[in-house]
Amino acid sequence: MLLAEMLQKHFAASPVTDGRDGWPDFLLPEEQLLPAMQFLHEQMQPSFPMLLDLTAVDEGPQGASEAAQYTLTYHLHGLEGCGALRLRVTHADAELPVPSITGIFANANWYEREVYDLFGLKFSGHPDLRRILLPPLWEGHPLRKSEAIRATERPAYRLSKTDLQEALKAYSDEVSAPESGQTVLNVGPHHPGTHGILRFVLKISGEKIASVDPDIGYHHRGVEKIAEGHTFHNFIPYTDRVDYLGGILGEFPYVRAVEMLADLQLPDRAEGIRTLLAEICRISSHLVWLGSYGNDLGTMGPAFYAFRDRALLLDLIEKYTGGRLHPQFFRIGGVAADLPEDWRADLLQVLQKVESGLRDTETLTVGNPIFRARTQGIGVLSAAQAEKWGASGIVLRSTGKAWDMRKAAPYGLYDALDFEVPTSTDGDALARTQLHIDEIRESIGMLRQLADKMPDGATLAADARYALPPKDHTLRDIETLIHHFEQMAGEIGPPAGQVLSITESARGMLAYYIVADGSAHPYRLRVRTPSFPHVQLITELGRDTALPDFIATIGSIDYVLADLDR
Amino acid sequence: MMLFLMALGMLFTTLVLLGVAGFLVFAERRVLGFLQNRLGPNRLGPLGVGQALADALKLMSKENFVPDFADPVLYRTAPVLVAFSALASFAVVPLDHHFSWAGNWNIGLLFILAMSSLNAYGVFLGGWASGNKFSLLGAVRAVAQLVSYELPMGLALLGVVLLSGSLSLNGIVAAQNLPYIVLQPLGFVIFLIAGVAETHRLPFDLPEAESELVAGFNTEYGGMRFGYFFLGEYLGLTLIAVLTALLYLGGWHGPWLPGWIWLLIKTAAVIFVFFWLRATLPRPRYDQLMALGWKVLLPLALFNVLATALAAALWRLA
Repeated sequence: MLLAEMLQKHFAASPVTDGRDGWPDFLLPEEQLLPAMQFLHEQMQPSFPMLLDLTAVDEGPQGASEAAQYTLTYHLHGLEGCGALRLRVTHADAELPVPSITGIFANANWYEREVYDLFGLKFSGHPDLRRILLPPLWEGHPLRKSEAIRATERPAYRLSKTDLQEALKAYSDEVSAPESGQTVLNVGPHHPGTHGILRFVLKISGEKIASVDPDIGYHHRGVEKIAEGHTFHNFIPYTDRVDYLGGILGEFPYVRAVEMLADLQLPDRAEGIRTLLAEICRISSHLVWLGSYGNDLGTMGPAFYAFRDRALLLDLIEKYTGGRLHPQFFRIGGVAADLPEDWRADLLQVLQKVESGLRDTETLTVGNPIFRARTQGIGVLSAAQAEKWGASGIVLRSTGKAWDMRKAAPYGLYDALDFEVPTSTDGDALARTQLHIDEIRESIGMLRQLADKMPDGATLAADARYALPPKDHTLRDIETLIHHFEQMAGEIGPPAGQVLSITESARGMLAYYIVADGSAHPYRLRVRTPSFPHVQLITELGRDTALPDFIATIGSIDYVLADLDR
Repeated sequence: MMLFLMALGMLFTTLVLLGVAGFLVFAERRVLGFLQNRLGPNRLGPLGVGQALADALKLMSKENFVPDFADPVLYRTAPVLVAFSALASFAVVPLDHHFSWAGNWNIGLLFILAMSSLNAYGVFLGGWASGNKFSLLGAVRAVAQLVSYELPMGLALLGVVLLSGSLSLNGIVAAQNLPYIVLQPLGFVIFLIAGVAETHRLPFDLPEAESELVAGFNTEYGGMRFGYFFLGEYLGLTLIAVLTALLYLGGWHGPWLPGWIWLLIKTAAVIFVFFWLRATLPRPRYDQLMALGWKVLLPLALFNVLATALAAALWRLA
């Protein structure tokens, strides 16, 4: 293999074999990191234009050796046939810096800050190394194995008065001193235009924006650390809530990752039900986006029309799964239950209403001249910029790149469905709005096809060692009952190994990277969310715009705050 | 005795107007609900009318605070100025032939324009005195918007004045054998657009622009001081609607029904259009709004004045 040969010959890389996802996987010596990245980004044919993810693993007490206390994992993506590539670098001492790759991949900036924040690893050559998710006054680096998993194992958090005053200074002009003629405007943490608690520190003169510094982390719940304290099954409900608008879409990459680790084959019906629910959730998430984007531009109508239709979809999800926003319906090896008897009729009825309702919403948004004037040519993104910042989903597709994980690396039942990937070459906010509408139409088409050709069969994999055994079987034979008990009690987990599973959520490439050590808990679980690079992108896209355009731009860049901060 | 009766009458008029403004808040919420496929407030009283009262009580019972960083005198004055200027304008608005305070005043229209400028002072000072950046941006926008739309509005009105030969509202209505919307279609459209901008309501609510400026000029206001701004907005809305009815829709002229009922119907229809706009349209950007004012409305208004003057002169010659 060409890539492997090149890396081994020029950069002393050694292949690693514990990956269960089939991506090329190499261990690099630390001093070869920068040259290898440079090579892969610029000279390699085909090249790797995008840094998909960058994270670290604390090898902790199980650490292979003194010299490998931490492992840094870099996932590159080709956005073409060559797919992803995993590079690992071992690092011995948290006091010594790791070379920063921000000079090669611009979006490494925030990823490296996150590693610094959560692991305490320093990066040499990083332009702006400070905490990103946790507040500046925080002590410790929570993803280190030496830190407690439960909050109750730590002393209670207290903020002294002087510390509080220090923290509040972040909101005044003095801290990020503006040039003369400029003033600092805090858009957020509480601002109607940010869709939640997120703060953009803008330097403005008049209403022109000179620089944007997003301050994120207000929604940080430590999902990755929480995962380390849960069994694989227990963690499923958390995945719904990472992107709270996506619901089921968040479960998909996670259960797939565990299934890849355990090498489980799913029955077709389970895949079909998963795909069905995922598409319903995608429509519901897109509708919320349409409604709230209308709100950003000052029109109240679309929100109510979109939410009317979304309520129908939520009712449908409730009927199928029992939950509305967060169904937590997927199980490792399948889904929790079969669909109800009359699911087809309900689905078709709702789809028809949603389709006709969408016409109203479309007229109120892209059909409105003021709406077009506000979005056309606003927040224009080029394909090169999108790749540079690691954008995915509709943000990437609005620049003309037809990249959709459902087509590129089909999972679920997507390869059996006939659908298009809508793209546009305009790259502006109007194109992104139109793409949301087009994607809803595509999803409606997919759901209609699924209503036709939903496969029959079981809803859980037969392999009861790793998959959840069907409940009625556990009542009949002792072997299955034992497996059920052991799984629920946290006795067995999937085999040791690493896996990266990427799916297309409503916002873009949502990936779970799991390091398993054979126990019932993930040793390290990393959530690569699409919102994180999207918000980082705003630092560039929001510059030199006026305040109203800034709101129109950040609204059109799809992000959900829980997805951003995890 | 006369003075006492007049004072009593003025008090009564003011109370009625306050009631109208309060009712409009409720009516708008119901109409928006109707237009947006939802219910709106429908719990308190028949059809929910009591909501207006409940809102007023809530606002009045709130704490009257002044932020530390605000200029206390201007901060207190601004909302009063807004409510006052809107209320005072109504003095020259006639309900019927001889049913008004100063409907015959021969500078009635000028007075209204002057008061609406004073209104903008209230908005600007409120935003400026708040000592908040969002308020300041809102205040700056309010002034820019006022300057851009006061001019086309005044010019559009000139067409009406030319036709009727009067500046008093009574005189203008009396001169309308044919409603001026027929003779002045362009002027009507310009006046209506400028009127929406004047009252800074959606789609021209840029000084408030919730999704951009939080609440714009009134970000730092709460309780009854916010209530005054609110009142000013809805009184302004009523004023523009009643002016449209008087100047372009023939005022109290109409068959069968008493004059004041006709005026009421016409005013309500215009107000409904304002609600409708709000339910449907997004907000244009700041520079788009200015461009519309200076590059479209102003030349059109100038053209309208010239065309009207020319037509009137030819009419007289013929």
